[in-house]
Amino acid sequence: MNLSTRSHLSRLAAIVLAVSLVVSACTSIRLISAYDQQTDEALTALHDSTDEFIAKLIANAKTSKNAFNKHKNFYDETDMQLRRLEFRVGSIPDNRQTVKLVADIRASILGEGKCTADGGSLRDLHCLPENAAKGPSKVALEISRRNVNQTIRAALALELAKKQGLEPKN
Amino acid sequence: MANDTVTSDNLGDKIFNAAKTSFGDNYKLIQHFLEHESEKLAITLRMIIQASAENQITGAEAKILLTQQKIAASAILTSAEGITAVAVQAAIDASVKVIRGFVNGKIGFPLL
Repeated sequence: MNLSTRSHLSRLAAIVLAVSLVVSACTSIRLISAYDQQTDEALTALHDSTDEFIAKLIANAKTSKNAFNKHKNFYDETDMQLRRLEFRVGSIPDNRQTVKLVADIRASILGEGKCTADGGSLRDLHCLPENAAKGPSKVALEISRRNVNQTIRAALALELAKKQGLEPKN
Repeated sequence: MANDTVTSDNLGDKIFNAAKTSFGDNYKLIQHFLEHESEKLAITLRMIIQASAENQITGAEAKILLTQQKIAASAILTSAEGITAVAVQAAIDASVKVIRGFVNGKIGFPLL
């Protein structure tokens, strides 16, 4: 190892040591929140209920069974689920990423209820004037299902990473 | 056989290697996560383009689905950012763990 590399290595080690000492001396300092089981369970429940809902819509695609008015309850219940989850994740310190991810999930499933092409949610897709009577097309629902699932899974992946990465390994 | 004893002379190397090993392992997981999710995004985008070209979805549906996909892409990057923070935290924890005995022994009380 040449002198320059050795010098860089020593400097880097000193930085790591300094950060380590500061972090360990102030044990309340964390880069990111610890794993939260309630968040994990709420995200899993949200995934299950939404996926089941879209699967039923796909099975009944383009029939009067998928009229938006017949499914308002799902959106209202999901809104309540998300409100509880938003309160939970917002109360946990150093949880910025998960707060943003839950906001993304809300945007993906509920959006702002614009019911126009300017929306970006499953609800917008469902309450479009052209879809209100019989629901979205099967293909549109299948694509929306992928988008919603991927958004929820992104949040779950982070929560599981916290569980695996921040637990002390002996 | 590697020398596991921490001394004043090898303290820096021990900290650096512990952090490097921990972060290196986790970096591979982050890379795999991003590659896997990017491929899923690409598949969905191809589905939107094909369905739109074949008139299986309306223009309004296509626009909504694209916006919804942007939300998914944003969520993936946010998740990757969070997982990276977890990895850095783990690297710091690993570096502290490797020097804990040495530092506490020298100081005479449990500082770390």
